[in-house]
Amino acid sequence: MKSEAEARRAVELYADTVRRICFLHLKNHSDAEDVFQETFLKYVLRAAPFESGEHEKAWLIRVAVNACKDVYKNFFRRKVLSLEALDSEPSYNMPDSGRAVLDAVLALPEKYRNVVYLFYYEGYSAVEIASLLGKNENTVYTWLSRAKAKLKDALGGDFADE
Amino acid sequence: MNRIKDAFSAIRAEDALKAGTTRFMQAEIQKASAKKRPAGKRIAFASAAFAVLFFFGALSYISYFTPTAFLDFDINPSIELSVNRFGSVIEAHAYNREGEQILSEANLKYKTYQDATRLIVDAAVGGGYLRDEAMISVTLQTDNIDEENQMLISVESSMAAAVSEHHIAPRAEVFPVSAEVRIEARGQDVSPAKYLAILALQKVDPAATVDSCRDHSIGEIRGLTREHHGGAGEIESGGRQASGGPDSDMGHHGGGHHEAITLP
Repeated sequence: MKSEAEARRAVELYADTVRRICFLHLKNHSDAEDVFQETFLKYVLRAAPFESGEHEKAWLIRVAVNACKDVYKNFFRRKVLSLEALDSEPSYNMPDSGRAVLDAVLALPEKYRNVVYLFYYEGYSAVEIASLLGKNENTVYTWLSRAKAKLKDALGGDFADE
Repeated sequence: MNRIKDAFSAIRAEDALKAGTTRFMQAEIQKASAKKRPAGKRIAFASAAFAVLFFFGALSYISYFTPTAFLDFDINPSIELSVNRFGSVIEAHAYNREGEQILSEANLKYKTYQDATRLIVDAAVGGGYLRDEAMISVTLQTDNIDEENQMLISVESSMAAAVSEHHIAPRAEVFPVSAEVRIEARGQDVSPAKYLAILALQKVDPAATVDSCRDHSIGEIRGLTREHHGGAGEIESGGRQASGGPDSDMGHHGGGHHEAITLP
């Protein structure tokens, strides 16, 4: 089990990354909070040391993605959403163009969202994403290509040129 | 792609979420630490438990394998049984070849002394050593007076039951001896009963030695003593028999406390 200092450090370093993964998959703040805490609890309970900071980050991303999948698989939670939960999703301060990009990403099929985020934001290569998500490398390339096309359709022709 | 990066940059973990998660993890860590006994304490606890177990184990072992009583049978096969405080035979020693023969046929170790008594009688009958006119001398040496009385009665009962099963009525005597008598006898490698019979013979025939009498039965040694004595009276070293007097038939058991026979 990790120490309290290690737990604080992990939250400081990786909170935003885990939160973004939650944002990609979960529709309400309550589920996002559950997955966020569950991910860091698993981190604290892990006895084996990490080989490096990169290994640590990749591990947390994988755990967060899997925890989101578990929530999504839960039929009851997927279908039943309280009004309170719907109201609790925080609004982020960003220009309309930013909101449009996020809406376009969230409109992508579930499986494309992770690769878009990991590739465009976190800067992982397709090979690294394949290893991280436990998918075939070619599958990741295909998903990236299709996601890019859909985003181009949604955000306009200039998107692909950026 | 800067538009994607910029858009995701706006998504940040809320301070309340980070603070709540940190508190939650601290609570879990503290809970786990409280449950987990420190390694030092665990080792100390395990060591103490092992020491207690080892102590009682060793005590039980020592207690079981420490003889508290010695039963010596002399039919002519001569055997000594070492008996522990639980009444189990922990060692059997043969004084002569006939005794070795009996021990090779009857496994007496870890049997109760009552069962061992019956097995010795059975083997002696089977070996042709015990017949109607034969003589069984049994001596008991123990430092526990309560145990002594109980064991004398039990040995008498066991012998009576065993001989009655074989429909024979040999003469028998069961009496206590002192530790000194047993040790002296053991030093001469004869049973205490035979040793006392030889001492009685030596009083009337100083030429008699343990070696010259070793291969004779107690009945024969007492016969020689009577001859030298002029055939009169009883032999003082002969101890007492099951019924309270020497050379009585089995089946007439006396009660009361027997005085251990000591060296003159």
